[in-house]
Amino acid sequence: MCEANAYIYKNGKEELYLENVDLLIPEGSKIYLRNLFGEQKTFEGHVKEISLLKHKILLEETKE
Amino acid sequence: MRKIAVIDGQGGGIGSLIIKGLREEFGDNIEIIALGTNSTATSSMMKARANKGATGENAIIWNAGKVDIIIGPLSIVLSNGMLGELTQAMAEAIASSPAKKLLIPLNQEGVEVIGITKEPLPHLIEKLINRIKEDLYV
Repeated sequence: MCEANAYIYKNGKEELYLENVDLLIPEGSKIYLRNLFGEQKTFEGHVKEISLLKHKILLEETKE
Repeated sequence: MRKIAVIDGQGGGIGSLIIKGLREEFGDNIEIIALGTNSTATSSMMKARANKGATGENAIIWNAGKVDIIIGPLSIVLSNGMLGELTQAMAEAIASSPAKKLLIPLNQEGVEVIGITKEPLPHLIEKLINRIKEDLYV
């Protein structure tokens, strides 16, 4: 609906990672995400940007 | 006392939020029956203070015709919805029930309801509660 969608920013492009994100918890070098339907994912990287107006979370892999 | 069935599946997160909102607004003046397509969903809704809970296809079919209002995400009337947890028989029983159906336009099945404005879930639940208020107090 109107909850935030998480995208991965890679090579100048945004790729949809998880829709309707309800919960986001940073866990060290990883980010735990869970959506309204209970789907959960753990992303290795960091938050590049969060746009509350656009309901968008932009994630990026951490460069070595 | 009005009997309200809240139906949800998978983790039961949406159903729990609905029940929490109903309980805060109406206290013990309504009877809430939590119907989960799996036991995790039912358990999660019971923790949100539903009066009774039951799980599975038969429980949903049995109770669908015995309540005044059915509430849940749009998926509860979509056959094979909720990653297949919502069976054809469940969808048929809910859709055929004489109870009023108040559905939250949230689903993973790619069904879009035209004319609906996108709003966050807490706002939708607030609207749902206002709709039930109209129904209970008019």
